[in-house]
Formats: sequence, structure tokens, C-alpha cells
Amino acid sequence: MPYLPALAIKSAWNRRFTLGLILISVALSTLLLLGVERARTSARQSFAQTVSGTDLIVGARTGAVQLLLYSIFHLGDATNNVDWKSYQAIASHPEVAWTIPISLGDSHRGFPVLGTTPDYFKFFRYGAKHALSFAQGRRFDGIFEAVVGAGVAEKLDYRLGDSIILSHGTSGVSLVSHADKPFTVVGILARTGTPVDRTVHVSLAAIEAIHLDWSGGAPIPGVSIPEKYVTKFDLTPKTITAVLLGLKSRIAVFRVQRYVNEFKGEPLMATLPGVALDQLWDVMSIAEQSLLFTSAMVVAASLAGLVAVLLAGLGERRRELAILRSVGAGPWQILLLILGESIFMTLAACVSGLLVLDMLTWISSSWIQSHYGLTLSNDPVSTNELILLAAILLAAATASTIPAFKAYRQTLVDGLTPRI
Amino acid sequence: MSAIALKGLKYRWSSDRPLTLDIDALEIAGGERLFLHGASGSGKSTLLNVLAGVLVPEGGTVQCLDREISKLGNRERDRFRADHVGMIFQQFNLVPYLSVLENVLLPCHFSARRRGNSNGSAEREARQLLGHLGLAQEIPARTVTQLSVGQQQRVAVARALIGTPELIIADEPTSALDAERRGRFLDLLLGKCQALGSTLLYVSHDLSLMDRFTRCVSMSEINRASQEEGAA
Repeated sequence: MPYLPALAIKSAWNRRFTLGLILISVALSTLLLLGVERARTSARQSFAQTVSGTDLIVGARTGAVQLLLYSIFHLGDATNNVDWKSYQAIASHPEVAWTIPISLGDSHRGFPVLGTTPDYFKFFRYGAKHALSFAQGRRFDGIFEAVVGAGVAEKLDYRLGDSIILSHGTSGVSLVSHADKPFTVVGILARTGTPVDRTVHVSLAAIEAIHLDWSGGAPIPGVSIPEKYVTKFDLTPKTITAVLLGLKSRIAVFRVQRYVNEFKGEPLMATLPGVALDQLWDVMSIAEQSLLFTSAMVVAASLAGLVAVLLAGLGERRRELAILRSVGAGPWQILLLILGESIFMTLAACVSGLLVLDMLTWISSSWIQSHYGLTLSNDPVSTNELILLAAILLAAATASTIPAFKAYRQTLVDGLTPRI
Repeated sequence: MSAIALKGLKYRWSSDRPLTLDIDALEIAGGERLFLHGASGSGKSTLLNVLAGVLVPEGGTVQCLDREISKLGNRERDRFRADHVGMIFQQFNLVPYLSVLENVLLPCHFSARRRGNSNGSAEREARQLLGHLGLAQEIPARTVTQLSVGQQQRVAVARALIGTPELIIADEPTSALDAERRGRFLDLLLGKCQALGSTLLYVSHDLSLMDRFTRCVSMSEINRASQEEGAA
């Protein structure tokens, strides 16, 4: 009977204030659940896209996850460094095709500073094996030249030729700065959606140069080596933080890994980025699961509210339902009326929750990108989100059988003469 | 032809309670306008529910328009009611979220037969009926709750009559009206039923109305079930 849906909509419109409130509640809980899911998958996707083409990450002996976090994501600090001699030995291993040495520990206005060689721009890959490209300018060449990521340039409004000062240490606010040796921005990288966007890149020699007159993490009192004299010193680094390795053949990956892990000079470790990422997911999945569980509980609470509203409404609707019975509506049609209303409400709530989420994603994606380096998917809805939406609808339909059957029984008992 | 013929009708609400209805025989002829009198608790509402095919008796036969409705399935009884019975309640007859016209047209959405009976356009018939009942000006009313009680009852009459069902059941439709309006309401209802040839079963405890009907039956005459037991 096509008349029934029209009737249900008119009836619902008549109770629009109560139903509107409960619709908002279900929509908000849907928004929360989908939001958590979207943030979760976006984080995973972003993390997985951060590094590609690198066969091994080498660093001081520590956990694989920790090595991955500080070398690639610039999160946390290295426990120990890699001796330059060890690096040279590993780099000259016959299976190694290329290396990117990385030296971390300084920062610029909260953004990590990464010391490396020009090979970084040649061999580093992210996402689907994309190479880094320059939005403006070129690679660093001189000692006091810096290449900034797209996020850094955008946030701090940097242009080519701007002068910047690095700070010692990785905390956002640093009291000790390398103010005596300013750097010039010579290149701005194109956006990658990875931590590269939030990084200031300088040469290894530069890292060495700004620490010439330093010792044990602080400037040596009374010693100051002016900028123009730094080239008179040997600027070969003594230690670096980590190394990214590319192999000639992937088949050799375990052999090279063993070589590094059993390295004679000092305790080192090599990890496959994919393996470290898998371990990272294991750590994160507890947080993910509990967040998802919490939002699912919020959805359940809002659906309980929906059922309560429908049940309370039945008392008021006794007369209305008796009239419908008197003109020939069967008890099953009454049941469908209640059930349909609830499913329609939930559907509307799901759609509005999703639309609001899409809108929020659209509005905030560039902000999230520049602040957290997290790329939110542009798809209006993902398969996982559709599955969650279907689950919400199914849960709502199941829960609504309670008021629907109550209405069914009520109309059978009341017949045409409801007790009011 | 009789519109309604009951034989040996027995009904009780549940097996552990006494009989609410125990009627040996009741016959109502087609076109008759019957006044059914009974105090509250005499089982009249239960009887109406049985006649309308909402409640199923535990024994006896209920012939309604030559159909044995107690033998019909649930769905068929609902369809029978939609097709052949017009109902008018005591009060609050109208669905609050539907317009005057939509309320009148309600039965046509549940019964193709009543839709078909209205000579092509149910809406035209609804407007005619409302006009005859003096409600032409109330048709554009935004909500039916803006109407007075008397107007609401007349809209209910239009709804009961649309598509010309053979049987009109009115359950104390005038109890909320004052004496003057009660008279006018009855004039309209009886006149319309006569014009359309519908059988009217009018239930009331107000004996002052009974002269207007072709016959009067008292529940206490026909129902042998215990009358102290409260029945809905």
C-alpha cells in the first residue's frame, strides 16, 4: 500500500519536534562513529603512504616501532646514534644501492630539522613510489641553505630567500637557538601528505657546523666560531641518527638485515618499514578498537533513545491508530507504520550524519593536513563506512521491533475502542 | 435481506473471565436504522468490535452483509471492514495531522471498493459530502483540531459515508454535543443514511433519541451475559 509511507511521513511531521531532537541525537552519534572510522583509516593510509621504496631502516638498537617513529615520522627521540664509520661500512655493502643518512635533533619553531645529503631528494619515495618534487627553488647546496616542506612554508609563510634560525632540541619552545648561524630558504617542496611537509631539510655538514662551538648539548662558554670560518673545520659528521637503505635486489633484504643486526662496531638494528608498520598497527589497534567501541556505545544509547521516544509516543497515538484500524488498516500495517517510521528516521539521521562528516572533512582537511600531516580521504563514503551505516540501520530496525510489536498488540487489544 | 444476523454469539476477553457477550439472536434488516441502547458495561462496544470484524467471537455465527465474518481470516476481516463498514466514534474521530479532506478520504486509501463507489472522483464526493454536512467552508482548515467538536463529528460522518459503505456504525457520536447540536447532527446522519440506503447501527445510552430510529433494541434484552462484569 503506497499510502502507508505518505501517512507515516505526515504523522512523523506532526511530531517533528520530539522526533527532530532524537534524529539529531542519532545523527550526532553516527557522525562520531563514522568520524572515528574515517580518522582511523586515514591515519593508517597516511602512515602506510609515508615511506615507500625504502627496503630497510637502520638505527641504533631499539624497538622496530620506535625506530620507524623517530626516523620517518620524527616522533620521539633516538636512544642512540649511528657512528659515521658504521654508516660508511653499511653503505659500502655490495647489496646496497643507495643510502639516505638522517640526522635529527634540532627544530625550527616546532618543526623538526632533518640533516641529510642531496641523495634524499633523489631516492626518497612516498605513497605510490612518488619522488619528492620542488614547488619552488632547488636542493640545498651551500652549508647554510635549507629546503622546507610544503606545510612549513604554508604555516610560517616562508618564501625563497627568507632567513630562518634553527633551535637546539626538538621541543616546540627552545631557549637555546643557533641564532649566530641563520639559514636561507632555497627550496620549497611540493605537498606530499607525509611528515616531509612538516620538515626543514638541511645538509649534514650544516648540522655539524651549527654545533661546532657546542659540547654536550650546550654552547661552550666563551667559544664562538663565526659563520665564515666554519668551512675551515672538518664538517664530516661524527654520528647520524638513522639511515634509509635501498637495495639492489629485494631478495637480499634479510641478508643485509642480518649483516646490520650483527654489526661488529656497535649495536645496530635494521627493520623493514612494512614489518615495523604492522607492529605499529598492533599497538594502535587497542586504541582504535576502544574508540570504535565507545562510539558504537554512543550509537546504541541514541538508538535506545529512539526506541524510548517511539514507545512513549504509542500512548499518545492510541486514538490515531484506532482510527486507522476502523478504516481498514490491519495490525500488520500498524506494525509496519511504526517500524517504517523508525527506519526512515534512522536513515535520515545516517544520511545527515554522513553529510555533516563530509562537510567537516571538506572544511578541515587542509588544516588537518598542515597540522597533523594526516590526509583525509576525499571520498564521500568508504566501504567500511557503508558497512557501519548498514549496521546502524540494522540495529535500529531490530530495536524498533519492540515498539512496533507493542503497537501491534495494542491495536489488537484496543480494537476500535481504545482506553484513554 | 438482512444486513446483520447473529446466532448464538459468545465472546469473552480471556478464557479465565466470564462471558461478555452471550446473544441468542439479533437480526438487522438492510436499510434499517437501529438504535442500540445499553448502559455502560453492557457489552455494546464489544459487540461493535465483533460486528466490525476486529474481535473474533468464541462461538456462534456473525452474518454481516451475507458474509460469515467470524470465519474470515484476519486480513479478510480488515478488508471487509474497509470495504463495507463506516465508523463514527464518540469523540476524537479525526487524525490530527491530516486535513479535513484527507480525513474524509482516509477509507478510500484502504478500500479500492469505496474509492470505486465514488463515481470516479473520491475527492469530488468528499467535497459534496462536506458541503451537504454544512462544512464547505471548513475544507481549507489547516488542521482539524481547529474545528469545533460538532464540526469534527460531522467530518467523521462524511468519512463514514464516503464510498457508500452498506453498514454505518456510530458509537455514541453525540455524547459530546449539546441538545440542539445533537438534534441537527442526528438529522444529518439519519438523512444521509436514508438517502444512501445504508444500514445504521447507532449505539447510545441516551433514550431520548430513540424515537428518531426505525427500531430500538436494548442490550439488556439480547445479552444474557452477566452485566455486572465491566466490559469495554
